[in-house]
Amino acid sequence: MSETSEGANVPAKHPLEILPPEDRTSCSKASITFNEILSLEKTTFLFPEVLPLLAAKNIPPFNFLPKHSKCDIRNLRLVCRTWRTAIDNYIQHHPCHFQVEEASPTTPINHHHGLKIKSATTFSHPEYLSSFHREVSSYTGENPFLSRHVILTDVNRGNVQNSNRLWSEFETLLSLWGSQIWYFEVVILSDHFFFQIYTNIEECLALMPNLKVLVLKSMEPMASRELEVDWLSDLVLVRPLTRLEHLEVFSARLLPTPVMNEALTKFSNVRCLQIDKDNGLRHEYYSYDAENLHLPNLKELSLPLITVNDLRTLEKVTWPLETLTLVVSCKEVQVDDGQGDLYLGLDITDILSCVFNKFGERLKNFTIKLNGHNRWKAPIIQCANISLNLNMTPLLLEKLFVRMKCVQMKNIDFVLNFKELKQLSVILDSYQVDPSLRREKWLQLQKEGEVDAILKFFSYMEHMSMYESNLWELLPNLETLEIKLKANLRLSSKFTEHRFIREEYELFQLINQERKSEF
Amino acid sequence: MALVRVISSDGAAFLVSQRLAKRSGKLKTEIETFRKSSDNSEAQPEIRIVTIRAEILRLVLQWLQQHQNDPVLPANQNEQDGRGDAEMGQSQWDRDFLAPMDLGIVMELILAANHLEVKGLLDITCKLVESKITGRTVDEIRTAFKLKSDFKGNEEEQTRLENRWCVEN
Repeated sequence: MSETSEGANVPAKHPLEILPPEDRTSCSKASITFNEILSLEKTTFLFPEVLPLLAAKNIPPFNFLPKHSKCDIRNLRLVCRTWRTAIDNYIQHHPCHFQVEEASPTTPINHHHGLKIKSATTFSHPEYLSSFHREVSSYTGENPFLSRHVILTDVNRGNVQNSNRLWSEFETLLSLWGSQIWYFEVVILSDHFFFQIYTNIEECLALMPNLKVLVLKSMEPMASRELEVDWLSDLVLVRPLTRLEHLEVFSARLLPTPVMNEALTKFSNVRCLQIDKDNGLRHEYYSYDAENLHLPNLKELSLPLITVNDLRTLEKVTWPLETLTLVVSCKEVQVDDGQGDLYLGLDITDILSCVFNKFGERLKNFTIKLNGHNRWKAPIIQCANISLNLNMTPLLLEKLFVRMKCVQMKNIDFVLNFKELKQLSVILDSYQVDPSLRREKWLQLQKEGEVDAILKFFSYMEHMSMYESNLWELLPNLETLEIKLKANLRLSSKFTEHRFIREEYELFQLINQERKSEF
Repeated sequence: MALVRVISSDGAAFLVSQRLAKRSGKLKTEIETFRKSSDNSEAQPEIRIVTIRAEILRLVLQWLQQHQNDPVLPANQNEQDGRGDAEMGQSQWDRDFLAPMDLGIVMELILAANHLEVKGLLDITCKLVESKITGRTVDEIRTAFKLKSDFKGNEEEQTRLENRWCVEN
């Protein structure tokens, strides 16, 4: 009774005071009365739902194009709390932060890449860090980073003092705000910074326990310094890396082997692992011991294959890969009896057998990049009549991407093993054997090499007449074929792109049939 | 003329031609699903849109009616280069259609156009919101959207402080 009498004295609350913001959209649609009550609030509570649609339309200020600064985004954060939260959530959780592949002629920059780069806070000069610290002294909020993406790089690579100051200031920042950083990228441009980072890597990562993405990139080859970094082996023994439980993506370029060993052991929850190095999974001096690594969540892997040992190691791992990118270095060539240079490195049949025997049951996306090193002579990869002796069926591969840079294949018959294939992309980069040869001549050579092939592919590229190829019949699920060509050796040469789709092939067939019936 | 009954979240029913309804990707799929599952080819499909209320559904159908003879655009057209179809030629009718609308209604229309997969309407409504945001001051945005600042204490000042170092460097 007393509760009732007390309640009677309390003025009735307005529905907006008791209705949680997340329920307002649904309630406004429930009845005309509710809609009227909430009508004035619509521009507030609908904004979090509308924001991704505006961004998907690639309109400013959400497209982060160079002509638009972050100014508009800053204004929007000041409108009201709901808008600020919506913008912060959108930017901080955007999938672009998890995409670590850099733009290249074959993977152009999209507007999401712009969002990632422009929303990140980049520290490249000690002065900027100093001013950040001055500003932050009066800041009482939780997180000072717009996207929680922080990039650290030493632009003044020759200046050791600057590099020391940069690191010292950054350490202070980490001790204050390290736990707010979700995405961390280090770009190492100098030897001095290289040693500074890796001497302090344990402490640095320990201050960022909530990291989801970690990118460690050295821009100059440190591989020749492997023996110099022996001390790192000892260091990681004395000061082992912190286990990063939230880390989903780990990308490392030219990472010293001892650190890589330690990292792969400690980052056991990673979903995506990208290794970019002059050396593959194994190295002459150190072993990554990949076969002993338990990475139960690893779905995406990108790594170089250099030696047969790399391949043998890959055969032993037990990772549930769905997406795999292999960068095969085609270094070894020899001149044969006038037929042209031959590639004598890793055997392509071996690579494909290993990949599909081991991962074929789950693998949906496979990229193989064959990188030659001599732009003037593209060795021919002998891969005629590849037939994969596979233990398991069916193969689930849906997307296959083959890039040949400074190498050539005689045929790509191996794709016929993938009956579920929906998308095939072939890139021929720097394919011309000799600058004096015209493209037609090169294609003629390909045609001759393809005489015994089942799949007529390269020979039909001559006039881009891919709808006349038997590809569409032999791969019944193929929806899209993309071909990119670049006849290199001239600075001005650009990729030419061609896209073929099944609907057009079917139309082409129909027209052909009609023509035949007319005859 | 084949008809379809489209029912809003608050129970209002709209009887429209299937030809018109099929200009919405969502309604087209629903009609085709109904056709496949129905034994009677003459039966009239009934589609409930539980996320769109009558006032908004009426506006979407009105827009479709006006644009029923326009070519149907693929969903991702012009998004790569940042130009929507609205930029490629918004009609005077569209401008008059949107002019009296409160921005709250425009936001509801954006969500409805997205749900019903009506690309043209989504383009012009997004463009309208963009024009009310881009290059505007905070106060101008608040006025346009009829919003009041709900920051407490020194929260707005702290947000300004955060913004101060989220600049390109």
